[in-house]
Amino acid sequence: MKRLITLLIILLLPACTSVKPWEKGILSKAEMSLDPLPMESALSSHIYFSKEASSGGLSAAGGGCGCN
Amino acid sequence: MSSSKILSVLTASALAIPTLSSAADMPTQNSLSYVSSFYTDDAISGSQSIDGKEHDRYDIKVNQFHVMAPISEDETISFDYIHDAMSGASPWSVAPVGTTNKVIMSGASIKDTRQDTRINYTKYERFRTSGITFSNSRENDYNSYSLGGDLQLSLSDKNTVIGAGASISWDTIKPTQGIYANLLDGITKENKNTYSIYGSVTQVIDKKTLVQFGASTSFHTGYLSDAYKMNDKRPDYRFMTTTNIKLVYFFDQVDASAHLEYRYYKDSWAVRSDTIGLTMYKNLQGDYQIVPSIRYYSQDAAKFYNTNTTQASTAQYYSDDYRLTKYGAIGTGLKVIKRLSDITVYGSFERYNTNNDFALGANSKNNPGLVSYTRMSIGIEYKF
Repeated sequence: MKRLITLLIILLLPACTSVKPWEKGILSKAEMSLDPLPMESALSSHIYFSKEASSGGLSAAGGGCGCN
Repeated sequence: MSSSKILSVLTASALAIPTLSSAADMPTQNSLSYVSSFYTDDAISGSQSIDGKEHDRYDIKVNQFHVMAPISEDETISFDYIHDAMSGASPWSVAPVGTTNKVIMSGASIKDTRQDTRINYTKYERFRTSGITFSNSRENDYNSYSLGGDLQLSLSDKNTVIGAGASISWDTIKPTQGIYANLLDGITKENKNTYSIYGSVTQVIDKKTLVQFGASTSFHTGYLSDAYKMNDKRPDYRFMTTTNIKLVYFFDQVDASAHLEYRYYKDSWAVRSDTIGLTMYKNLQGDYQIVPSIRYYSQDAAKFYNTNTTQASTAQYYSDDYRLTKYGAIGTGLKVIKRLSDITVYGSFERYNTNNDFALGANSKNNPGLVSYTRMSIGIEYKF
C-alpha cells in the first residue's frame, strides 16, 4: 500500500498548476476545507480510538484516555 | 464594468479568499461552538453471552465546548472542554463453549465520567503558523497530561503547506477496585508515556483539487494492558506508524465536494489496518448542505491475541480483547448542515457495524464481543 501512495504522489504532484489567490474561489468554500467540522471529526476520531486497535493520523497523538 | 471596478473586485476577492489550509490563516472573529452527542453500543445478545442472557453495553453522552479568540493581530487562544458521561457494562473475557466463543460480561453496571480540557496558543505569521497545546483528560481511574507543538509553512503562493508536529503525554491509571479486585492482580497504580511526531504536505493541484499526504509515528511505553480484562497481558512498549492520503475535489456540475481519504496503519504488535473514507458535501438551496459518508475499516489481529486460555496461560503475552482480533467495520453517516453568515448548525447520524467477516482476507478469528453502535449529534458554531 505504501507503494500505491508513493505512486499517487509521483502522479499527482507534477499535475499541479500554479493557482493565484484570486483563482481560489472554489478552494475557499467551507466544504473544501480539509476538516469542515473539526469538533465532529474530533469526536469521531475519539470513538474510533476507543473501539479499534489503530489510531493516529494527521495530528500529534495528544493525551490518552482510559477507554483504550 | 470599468477597469478600475474590475480591479477593485479582484483585489477584494484576493483579500477575502483564504488559502488551502484552515490553520494557515488568522481568524479575524471570535468563535463559540457547542456539540451534544449521544451514542449507544448494541447489546450483547443471549446467544453471544456465556450466561445466555442479553446484556446492555455502554451508553455515552458527550458535551463539547470550544471557544477561540484573537488576542492580538497575529495571535489566538482557544479553549476546549469535553465532558463524557458513560454507563453500562463491558466484556471481561471470552470463553469457548463447544465450537464457539461466548462473552463474559462485567456483572454490575459501570458509571464513569471523563473531563478533557485543552488550551491552545497559535501565532500567525506571513508564511508560518505555529502553535502549542496543553491538555488534560481526567476520569475516576485515569489521568493524562499532554503537551504538543505544531508548525506549518506556506510556500509557492500558499499553494503548498508543509506541516509538522510533536507531542508527549504522561498517563496514570489507578484501577477501580470493588468488583474488579479479583482481576487486578494487585495493580493499584501504573504509568504510560506516549511520544508522537507527524509530518504532512498539502498541495493545491488546481482550482478545485487539493491533496494532502502525511505520516506519523507514536511510541508508547509503560503499562499497556487492560486492567479490567480477565486474560490480558500485553508488551510494555508499542511502536505505531501511519501513512495517510486525502483528496478533496469539487464537482461543478453537482455543486458538491468529495473528500476521499485513506490511512495505512502498522504497529509492533503486528496489528495492520486499512481505513478508507468517502464524504460528499452537497450544497442545496437555502444555504443547506447534505453530507452522506461511508467509512470502511479492516484490521489484522495482534500477534498475542488468543481466546484459548490454556495456551495463553503459558505465553509471555496474551489478550482476548475484541479490539485486538481480526475484524472489519463499516460506518455510514448522514449530516445536514445549515450555514448562515455567522452561525453554522448541524445534525448528524452515524451507524457503525462490525463483523469478523468484514475483514480483508480470510479470517479464522471469532470474537462475539465486537461492538457496533449508533450515534447522533447536534452542533452549533457562532462567530462574532
